[in-house]
Amino acid sequence: MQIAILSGKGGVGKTFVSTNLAAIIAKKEKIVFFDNDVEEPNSHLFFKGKDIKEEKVNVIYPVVDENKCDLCGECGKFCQFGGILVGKKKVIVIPQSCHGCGGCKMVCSRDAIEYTERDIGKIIERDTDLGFKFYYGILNIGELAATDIIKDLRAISNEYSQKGYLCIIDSPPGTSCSAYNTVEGVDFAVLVSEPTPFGISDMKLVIEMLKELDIKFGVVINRANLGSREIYDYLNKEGIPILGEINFDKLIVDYYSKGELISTYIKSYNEIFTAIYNNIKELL
Amino acid sequence: MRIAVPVREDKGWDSLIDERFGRGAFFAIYDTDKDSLEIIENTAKDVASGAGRQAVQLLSDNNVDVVIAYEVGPKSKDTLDALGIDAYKLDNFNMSVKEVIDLYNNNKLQKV
Repeated sequence: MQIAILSGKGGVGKTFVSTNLAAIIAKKEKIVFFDNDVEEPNSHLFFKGKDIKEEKVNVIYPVVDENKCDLCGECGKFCQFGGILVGKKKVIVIPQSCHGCGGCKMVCSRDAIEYTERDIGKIIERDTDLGFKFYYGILNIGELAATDIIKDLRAISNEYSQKGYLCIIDSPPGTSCSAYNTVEGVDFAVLVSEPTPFGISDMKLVIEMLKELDIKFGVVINRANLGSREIYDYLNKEGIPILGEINFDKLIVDYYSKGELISTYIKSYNEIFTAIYNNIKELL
Repeated sequence: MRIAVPVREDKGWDSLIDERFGRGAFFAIYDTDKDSLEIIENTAKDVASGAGRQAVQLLSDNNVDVVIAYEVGPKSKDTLDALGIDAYKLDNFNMSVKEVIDLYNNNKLQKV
């Protein structure tokens, strides 16, 4: 079983919800947590423990043999990402733009292209003090292809899921390739939003994506006591289940800013996240 | 020799300069040997990333030797260098292709 925690807009409390929810569920089930927000991971700040493994994520890119190349330009025309540029005297490869499709080699009539590897980031495995395993990815600064790391993380979560673990995946925000690759194929999605015009507008985009992917989902409304009722009207009209509501509370900020999980300290928050978990279970 | 200038419109010698290089709308290409001007669409302008580099590829495909622009980013500059295209900088973009080529012919432009 795999559950992804998503948000349309950034900063609505996706990591807050996913980390607290995980801590609650971990008391009842065998879980593994994944932070797929590899461009800005921060779940690791809340799950203290010991990093036991660090693995580089490698991708390929083309290397052109200048002795064989006749500068015909076919490779450059084939590449849709500008990863290979052919001039009058030489060919330039932009490794960061390469998506590793292998097409440039296929269209090269001079057999002048080979591939080599470089690392674009890493995946870290941590044994948390809460007793479950936690994986997070980090994309190197300047790299573009977050999905290469996200797909590796998903391969790991697929394995755990098959072994009977409940995988909780903190997704990148929005509906970009990173979020899409995170959520594709999961069993359930928890969509975190807030009752602001931005929160509602961006949430609708994610809802469209989830419907397209045919993934069951529900919404957690964070800072529920602020903003307007528009989000409730919309969700009610669409028949989308509300999994829980969390009011704005300075206490949350106090715990969050210290990297602590409020649900493990404050009973009322333990109850809120337990209720969210129970609501998810009913929908699974 | 062929000189390319990013322009925001297709109005021949009167076309105004586009302040952007990689995401400019068109390129005006002046051929000094033939004394002719052509305007081509910048097919790289809407790509998600790396527009500058792909614009350089487009210019290289069009046998351009020199680029004159208001702003050339570092990635575009690296690619221009690698493909052997010289770049000259404009101090302002509020002028026509004709004025730019005049400046170039009178050696009033600075090489990047």
